[in-house]
Amino acid sequence: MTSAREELRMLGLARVAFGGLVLLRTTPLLAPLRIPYLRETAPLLGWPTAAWHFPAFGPALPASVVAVLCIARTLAVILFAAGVRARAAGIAGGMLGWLVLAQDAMSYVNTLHLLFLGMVVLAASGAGGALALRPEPAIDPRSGLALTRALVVSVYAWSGLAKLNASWLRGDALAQLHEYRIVHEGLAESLLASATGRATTAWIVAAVELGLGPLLLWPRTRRIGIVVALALHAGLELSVHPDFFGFAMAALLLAFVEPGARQLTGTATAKPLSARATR
Amino acid sequence: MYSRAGEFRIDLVTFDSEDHAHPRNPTALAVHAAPGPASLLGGSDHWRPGPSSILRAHIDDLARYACHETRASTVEITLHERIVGGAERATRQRLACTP
Repeated sequence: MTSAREELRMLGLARVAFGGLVLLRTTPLLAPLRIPYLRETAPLLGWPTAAWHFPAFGPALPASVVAVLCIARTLAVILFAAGVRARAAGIAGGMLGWLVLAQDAMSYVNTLHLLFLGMVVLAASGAGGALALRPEPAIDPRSGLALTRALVVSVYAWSGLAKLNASWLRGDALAQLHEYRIVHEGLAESLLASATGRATTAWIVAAVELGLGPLLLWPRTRRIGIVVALALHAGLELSVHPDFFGFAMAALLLAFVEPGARQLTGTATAKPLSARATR
Repeated sequence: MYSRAGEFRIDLVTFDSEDHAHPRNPTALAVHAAPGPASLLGGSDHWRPGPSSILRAHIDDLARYACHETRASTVEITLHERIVGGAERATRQRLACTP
């Protein structure tokens, strides 16, 4: 157990880190690094183009409207990360992000969905209550923290459940990733060289993803859960380079970090929030 | 993504005003496409991985775009999908192009 103040601080830290990641992923700030999946971020991600594309649903919005939405999304993300009206800014930023993303159905990637969803969840969790230029009154930090943790656990659970199919468990999906050079570096190269290695890796990855939720939720295994999750993302980042996914999950995992907690004994002292902070 | 070994390929056939069929390489459709669709259409004359369900859901949009790009009288697009080791599925869209 930790104090509500510490929990709020970790949520605030997660907000700053997560908002920074959204900003880096949707603007050309990292363009000099020439990372392939950041090629379409100039002038802003989703900026209207004359090239052929189609919306995910409904009629396409006029180009001028999409441009305004891109600018509004960027402003909302900046306010969210800085902690100025973070609740409204985060929810608006996520909604605008989805709206712009929906203008080009084929530009959808899971990472962008996670970034926009994470922003909405952190905003609704009251993450603007700490480490903010204008801290918002905390309404219920415990439930806010639980909401953010639920998002993290659900990501691992759905990812693990999606892998409970013959194609994955036989190692076919990993064979394909290996064949198309999507996974091609370091330890992954040797693990995926044989059918036995691919099947074993597939089972381990599915088991780890399904096990992460319980590990993170149970206080006694929380630290182990965080370490395992970070190791999983580090491994994926080195072998698959999955966009900003691992970084986004690492930022969200801050919601599980309990700086003042004695997790094995559960005897941490709980400090009450000040009257001002809990308004 | 990453949880199934799925692949797809596209057959593009255009028909002139006398209804003669002309097989075309669907990669040509990537030239004037935005980066998202271009990355799916490029190399789609052969089996390749990718989120083919989006193409299937919007195969009518793709056919209209193919009309515009090829200036044909009629286009026929067939999207073939398969799970590695599983059955193949084909979705066909034939569209008379309006001038």
